[in-house]
Amino acid sequence: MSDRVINSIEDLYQMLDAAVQLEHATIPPYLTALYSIKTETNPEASAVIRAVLVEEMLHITLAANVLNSLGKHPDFEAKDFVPSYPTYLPDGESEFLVSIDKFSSTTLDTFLQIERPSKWVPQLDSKFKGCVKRSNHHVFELKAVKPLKSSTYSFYSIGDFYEAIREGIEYLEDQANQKGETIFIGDPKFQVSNRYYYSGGGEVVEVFDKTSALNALELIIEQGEGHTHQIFNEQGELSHYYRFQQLKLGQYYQTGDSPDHPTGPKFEVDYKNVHPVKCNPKVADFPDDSELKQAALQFNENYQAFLSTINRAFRGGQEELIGAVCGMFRLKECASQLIRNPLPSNPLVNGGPTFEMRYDSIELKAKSIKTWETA
Amino acid sequence: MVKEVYQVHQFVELSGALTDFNALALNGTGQVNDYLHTLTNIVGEEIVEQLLSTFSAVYEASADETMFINGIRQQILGDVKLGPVARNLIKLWYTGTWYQLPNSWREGFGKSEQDTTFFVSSASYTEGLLWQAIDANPSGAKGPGYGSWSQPPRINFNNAWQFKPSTKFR
Amino acid sequence: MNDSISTLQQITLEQAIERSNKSEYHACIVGSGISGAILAKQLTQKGYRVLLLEAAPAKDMTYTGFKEYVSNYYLNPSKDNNAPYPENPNAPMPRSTDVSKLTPGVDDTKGYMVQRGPLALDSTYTRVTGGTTMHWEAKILRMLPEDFAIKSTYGVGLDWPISYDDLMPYYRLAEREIGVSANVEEQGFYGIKYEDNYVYPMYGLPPSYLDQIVGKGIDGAEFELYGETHTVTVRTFPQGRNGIPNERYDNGRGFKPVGAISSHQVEQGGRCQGNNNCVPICPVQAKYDARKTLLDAMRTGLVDFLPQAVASKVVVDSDDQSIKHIEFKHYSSTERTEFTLAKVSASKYILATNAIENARLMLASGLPSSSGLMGKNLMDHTYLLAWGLLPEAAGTMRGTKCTSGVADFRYGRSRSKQAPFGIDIHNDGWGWATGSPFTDIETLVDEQNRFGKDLRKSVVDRISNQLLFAYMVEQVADESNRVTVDPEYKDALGNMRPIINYNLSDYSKAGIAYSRETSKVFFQRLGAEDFSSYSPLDYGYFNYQGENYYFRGGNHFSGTHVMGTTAGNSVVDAYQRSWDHPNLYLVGSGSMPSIGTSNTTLTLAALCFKTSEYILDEMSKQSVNIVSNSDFRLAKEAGHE
Repeated sequence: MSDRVINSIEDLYQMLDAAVQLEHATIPPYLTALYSIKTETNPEASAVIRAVLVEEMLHITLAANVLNSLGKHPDFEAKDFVPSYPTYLPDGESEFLVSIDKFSSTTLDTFLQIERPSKWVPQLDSKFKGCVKRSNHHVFELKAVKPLKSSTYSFYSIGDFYEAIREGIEYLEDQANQKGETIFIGDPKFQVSNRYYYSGGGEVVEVFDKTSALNALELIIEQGEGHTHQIFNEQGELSHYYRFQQLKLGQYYQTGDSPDHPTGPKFEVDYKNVHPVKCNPKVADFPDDSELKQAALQFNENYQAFLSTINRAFRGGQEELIGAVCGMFRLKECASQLIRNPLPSNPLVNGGPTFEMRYDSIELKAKSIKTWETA
Repeated sequence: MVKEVYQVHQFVELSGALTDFNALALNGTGQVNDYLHTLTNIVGEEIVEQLLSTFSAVYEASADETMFINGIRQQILGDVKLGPVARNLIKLWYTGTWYQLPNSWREGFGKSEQDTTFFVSSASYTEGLLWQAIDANPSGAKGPGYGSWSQPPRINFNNAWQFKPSTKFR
Repeated sequence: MNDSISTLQQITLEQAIERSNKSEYHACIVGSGISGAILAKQLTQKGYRVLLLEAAPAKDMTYTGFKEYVSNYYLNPSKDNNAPYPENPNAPMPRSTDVSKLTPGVDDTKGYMVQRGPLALDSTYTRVTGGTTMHWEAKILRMLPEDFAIKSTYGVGLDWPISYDDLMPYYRLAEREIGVSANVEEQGFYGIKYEDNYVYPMYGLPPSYLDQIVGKGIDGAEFELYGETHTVTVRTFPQGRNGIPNERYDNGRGFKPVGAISSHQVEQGGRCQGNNNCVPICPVQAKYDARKTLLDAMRTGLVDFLPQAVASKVVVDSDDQSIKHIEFKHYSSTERTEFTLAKVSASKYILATNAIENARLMLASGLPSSSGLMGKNLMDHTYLLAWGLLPEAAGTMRGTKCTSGVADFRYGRSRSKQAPFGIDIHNDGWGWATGSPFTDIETLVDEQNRFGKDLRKSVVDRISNQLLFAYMVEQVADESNRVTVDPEYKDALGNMRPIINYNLSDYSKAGIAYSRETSKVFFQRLGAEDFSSYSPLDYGYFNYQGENYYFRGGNHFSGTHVMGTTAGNSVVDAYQRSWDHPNLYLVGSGSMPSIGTSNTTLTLAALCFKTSEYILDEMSKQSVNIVSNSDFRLAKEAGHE
């Protein structure tokens, strides 16, 4: 049998769908950790997490553009698109769970796990590039991700996961070309452009063909895990793993450094100046009729409305992204408020955004972020 | 510990009544402890206790909101000792600034060296309630996003403080 | 989007002197604001080596240093336009908070600028790396074509030796460098024209909700003025801050916005987020500041950047009147006044320290110009503020400081009788006039005795409904408005401080008085309650034809080394080259013979592009011929005071 993970266009759709979910799944943990840091403290940690966070948003957009170029759309409203935390990640790293939690040394370790570089070595590993064997598929609570070709393999790193997608695109497009066809049959109008998408995290790539698709994936891989264990990419940007590692080591990398040995300016990471967010908070943790519970519910409703807006943006309404970004800023303020509020039952522990979505109400989907009010 | 928790709770309630922002909003600024410390450091524990206990007494004794408001005016804001302190607390919450107390107060009730006009911290500036009240970001922080300024402000009073709400929030 | 590469290298004093001794410098630029940065970038990108002297420390070239500025701003009880920038006695800067009402005949020496009057001018500039663009508002207007010829057209002020058409291609370069967000179709009015198919680098910023309310109320208002009808339209301003890149820019190549300056990855500086704090500091660096240009220059590896070097004397060769060297005082700490006196030479010298400091340095060097005009013709925009409360919540305090205004009084026949003006609608409400919103809270709590629900509701009505018109009135050249120096007034390093003589002419006052009348009409049309009041106790107070007014300075210092057609009528020529000293350029708004009703930065930046083109042309014609100077000496001196 083939040693490719992706062998059919269906496989590719599923993998890209999972990619969008994967990128999104990191956002609640990064966001919560970022806003658990007390205002005006820990400038280095805040800057690093923030930088990674905005690049994850870019990665969502890039993965979605690739999916749209194939004539499919990502579904941000799909049941269980937002995982229940703690969660495994959709690319299947099986030995660590990702939580919504305050910024801490442990949280940082998880972030390093999420962004860990590939360790795939051709000679030693399984026939599936970057895959590791596993037999516990059932523990993956990401119900929206169907098991791929093999239910016993998963990826060691996010980079490996994208390598598999890249390989699949090359293969499938090659097959299609031989028949005088292409897999890139999506309507270009669904491509989200830099006019509407923006962040400090880099420029979005519009995808029309194999080259642009590979460019988009390349950008995700470069920003995420980097290549061949180099700390800086060609643009002089640090990959996510090494950015987080700077916090672990309390020192910046500078040009010319080798991995694990930064020599730039040193700084202190202050784990004490952090709000004590309850790990993986749930609405059920907050007393009925408490202001905190109301606010948590309101946040979730707003977040779901935000995802609906994003969904429309990737289905031809990209001008909605401008407003969605403003919505994101409002969500940030609501999340900060939750993070700073003590639990009525235990003033030593604070609340936090729970990111629990409701999929039982149709009216919810119709809600636009324009109707939001601050909690 | 228990006493401290109770004091913080009372401080938040007093602040809520004075500013019309509920506990969620006040805690949401992350400034409660810093403000209580600032107040205590400058006017002293005794006056803080007096302020909080007067507030509690007025609150408990008031059958309705009109009575409560009159009580606050007569026994706190209209009090020679407590009035300037309470007004300072309002301004502190709204702006993040501790304003130097009036000279008459300083002559009568003590001049703390720390009693100058200052922002409690750089964070206290950005957490001033005035900005929330008008649905704006503090000038120089929390930018609301490109183009947001083209839309009307979404001013609302959803997080207003409530006098003895029927379902008391815990 | 950000700069993660560490290109922020600085050199030491010893290195600078060594290279100077080896005649390695093609140019010595004094000042790292927008003028100096543009010159440095243009010269180094063509392979010339530049020594850049900056009076201030350079920590703000790092993200941490920049964040400190932002924190300083948060903490500073005064939110004036130099609030983020630390006091530095070795390179002091004017602050509006230092200005108070003058006593006739008495010099006011409280601030760095000595105020000799008769009127007190509260304008400021910022002496930090990046210069005053660190606190500028970044409203970035072209001048009207008629502004270049006000003497010949209207009989007032001075004419330029060049026209709008001459400057047009350089405006374009300046708009690229700064990264201007604007829509051509909204900007081509009263003679302003563009090359065919020109678009700005980025789309215009959307108008604020407040602008929209004001526009509904005053659009179409008509004013008869000297036989001409001026019809009001609220228009958006071009902005020197990042917006949505225009894909049609540069023949379809588009535009890549420049993000935050940082030696580490911070991912900021994308689109304007509406922090409402362009002045005094954009916390996300979406606003252009000169460090962005400076960094481009540094990337060439040809800029030797020497901070903490305060130029103190321009020394002239008595044989041919060329500049022989520049003396400067290099200090090791802003805490101490000890300095090392040093000198450097280069084949060309470019003073880019702003209109006040350029003239101050030349006069302190005993170089008043053969025309005698050095320091004279000091101009600034004169602001009249008019403020009121709208009948509805207008969402004031959101957006950039100012997104729209009115341009319909900037032109026309009335200019022969009264000063023209532009109008800004201020998104930060009454801040400039009253210290709002903080003073509002003080008033509501301490005077109106409000608390609780009553207070919260009043805060909305009192702040979100605010409207402030800032009238920017042209001031024309007048030799009696000027900068001088006097050994009696020195700073901590012993450099002579600028002394300002400043007054408003009846021409200015007539324009101000008329602008006030238009505000009354606007408030009527909007149903707004007029809160404007001009106290005789205010430092900017004056009375004109029985009415009280006060004015504020616009921070647009200019005219102090005016350009012209001959050595007799000006200090510099149309290329900003000194008539007296062939290897000296005085650049910036000091060269402008008139300022019209446009904020000066875009025009001065355009002039700097024009100058750099000229210098490059000169350099390419000459074989590089640097005077070697072997008698460098280091003199250690204790600082004064």
